[in-house]
Amino acid sequence: MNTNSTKPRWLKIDWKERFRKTPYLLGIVIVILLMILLGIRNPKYLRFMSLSVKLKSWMPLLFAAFGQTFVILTGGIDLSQGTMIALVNVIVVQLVMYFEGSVQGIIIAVSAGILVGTAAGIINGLLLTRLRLQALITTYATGVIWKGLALAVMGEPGGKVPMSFYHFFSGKFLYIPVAVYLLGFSILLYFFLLKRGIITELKAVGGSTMAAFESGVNVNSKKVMAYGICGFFTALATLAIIGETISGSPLAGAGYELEAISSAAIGGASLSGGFGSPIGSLFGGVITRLINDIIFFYGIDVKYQQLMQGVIIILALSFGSLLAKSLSRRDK
Amino acid sequence: MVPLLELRGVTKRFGGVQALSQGDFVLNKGEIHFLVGANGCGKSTLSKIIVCALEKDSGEIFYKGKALNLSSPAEARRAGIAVVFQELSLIPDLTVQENMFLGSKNQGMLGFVDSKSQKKMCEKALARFKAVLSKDICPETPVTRLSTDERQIIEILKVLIREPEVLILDEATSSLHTTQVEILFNIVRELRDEGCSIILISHKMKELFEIGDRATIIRNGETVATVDLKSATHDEIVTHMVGEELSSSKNEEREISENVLLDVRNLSAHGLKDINFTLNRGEILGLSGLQGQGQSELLLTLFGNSSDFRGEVVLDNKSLGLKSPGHCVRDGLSYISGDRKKYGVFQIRSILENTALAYIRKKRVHLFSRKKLKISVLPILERLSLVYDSLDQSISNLSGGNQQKVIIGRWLMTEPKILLMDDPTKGVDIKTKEELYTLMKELCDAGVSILWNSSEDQEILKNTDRVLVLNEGRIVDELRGDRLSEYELYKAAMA
Repeated sequence: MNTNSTKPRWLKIDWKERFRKTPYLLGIVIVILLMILLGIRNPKYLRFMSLSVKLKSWMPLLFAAFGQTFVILTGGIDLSQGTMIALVNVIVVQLVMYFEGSVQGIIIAVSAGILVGTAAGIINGLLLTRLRLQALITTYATGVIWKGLALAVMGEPGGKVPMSFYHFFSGKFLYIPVAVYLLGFSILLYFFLLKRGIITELKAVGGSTMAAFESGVNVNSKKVMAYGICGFFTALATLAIIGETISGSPLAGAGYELEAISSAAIGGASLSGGFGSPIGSLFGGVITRLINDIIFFYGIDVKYQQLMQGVIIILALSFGSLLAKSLSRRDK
Repeated sequence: MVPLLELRGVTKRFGGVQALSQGDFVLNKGEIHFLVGANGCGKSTLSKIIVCALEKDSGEIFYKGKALNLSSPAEARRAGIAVVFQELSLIPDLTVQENMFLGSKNQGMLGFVDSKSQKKMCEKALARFKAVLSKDICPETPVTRLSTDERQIIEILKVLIREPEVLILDEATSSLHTTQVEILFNIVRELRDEGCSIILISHKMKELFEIGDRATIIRNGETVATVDLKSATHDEIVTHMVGEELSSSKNEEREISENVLLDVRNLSAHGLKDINFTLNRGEILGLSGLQGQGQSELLLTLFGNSSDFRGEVVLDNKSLGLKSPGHCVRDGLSYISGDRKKYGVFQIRSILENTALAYIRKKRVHLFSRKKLKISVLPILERLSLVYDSLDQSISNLSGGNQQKVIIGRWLMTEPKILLMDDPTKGVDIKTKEELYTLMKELCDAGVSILWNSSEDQEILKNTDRVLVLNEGRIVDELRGDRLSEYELYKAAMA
């Protein structure tokens, strides 16, 4: 007891407890570590300008991972996310071109894109709950459908979106990049759902469907809701991609679903459902991108880049799972 | 006076089994009412029907004088009838507070969660059990970190904070310690005095007389009597439970060698405490008592499923390691489960494959000819008088009883010294059951010993030489000869 009082303050904090309460704390720690590694190699990387440009380019993945996490919380998975991006992408670009880039046209196109994304997510959810299909294979199949629809809307990459799109996403408002506002909006939405008790119910569905049902949670509507939210954020991810490429492509977003799922896992979400946080997935997404940059700035031979990337992801994942294991153990 | 809750002629059937044939039950306002009965008599079925966790086939339920028609447990809770089931319904990754309020309406402004008042209510509820919960439990503790008894308490509190008018506790005390039960009973008494009615399902006679006002006894799916616990006696209740014993057809006494085959000394493991018994060569030894008192755990431990057992198990003067089922098979043990789908049958695969599997593993045959294998399987299946078209027929096409025969055949091929059977006749038709009993006796006459557990009390009393009665993981009595009766069994099991 006496030795306790002589300890410095930071030693008195119960770190185990802290980590448990904020599952994404580990993500923050890893982000800081990677940033330091990058800063040592290339101090310019940590400048405000360079970071805000980076953040903008990370936006699509961050939104995708953020949305995917809602589905993962319920114990589901959305493999159609990548091609959903393609579908929303071509619809938005075609509409913008149809209205010849007018402001009203852009508003209509963007709203339509968000509606299509959300609707696609809800369709996923309805198929799973009404027909009692498996999430993995169903969303794979709907993913193929989205791709087919995207190709029907726009056969090959092309089209052009006004530069205002680009300027909006890379712009600043009151010295703060627009990207930060968009992320802030997402986080606000998350807290809104949290305060309405919906996040708890989503976790309950993922943790134990039967127990959630017995407790009076409407399991099916929560699942549909999760897929709908995922679709909504997938649409936002698409808009961020258009802001980067300012053109349309039926091939946009390929592979995003797996990157998003792995980001969520790195961010502490359990793929069996019931545990995790969309905010953690944001850090997971940042980590995924920082790993790419580290490989780039440390000049690792192109031949070994993929190898390194995979190994680092495994390390990040096992670090998290080992930590989770030690946290769930009860100290006697 | 109109009773608070009344059931008239409620029935329920599961496939071929009539779980409840005549459910009549009257619950008054402000009473503690026990439901008692033997294993599988329909107590839980009755309570599940009340809250619509199961749908009734026929009959009527009246609540406050009006017919009650529910469609889910959640709806029952809104009507004021809440139940704490035996199976835990907490979500591990959520916190205590989140679990307690899951599914309840948000009380805060504009339909938001009012986490502050929730926390206060949660702390108040936890305070009632403060003396018996670990000190570090607070509303933010995730349920994964709680022990089984603590989870059971949270489960009870989850129901209590909704202030039900009818509270059903289905064996809620079985995982609690004595001091925890005391606190729970104090709360139950308080609730009764406030006008709440409580239905308790319990196997402990002591509890019955300690806090019960009335008890309804169920026998074979029929409510046979309701007694006032102030005047009733222990014997009266057991007699109601057992009924008049039908022409207690004594099992013929078999000659058993004095040769001890298996000697279990001071065996303790998860759910088992200090088990001592011997099994003679050619003996049929039954495990009985109320369900879930360690019978299955004992069989599984003897088959190498428990990593941290203490004590000694000696087979043929050789101490067993019980490291894994594989080791146990090589030592001459075999295990047959009543849960065939999960632990027995390989669905779709052929009868041949299902029969020869353990034999191939035990003999460590690496290369074998199909023909030879078929030849070695045939005499075994003939001995079991299994009816089938061809050995390549899928096992899924066989009836439950015949599937069980194939599994017995699988183990007979390994020439086991001991058959461990956990409720092997579950879902088996009557004719095949009789065949299995005869087979068991034949096997034992040939020198095999059988240690088995059954959820049907009559079948185990009839088809064993001796019965060990288990209660809370301990052997509390041994029945043999004239004492092999249901009356003696329940007297020992419920003491």
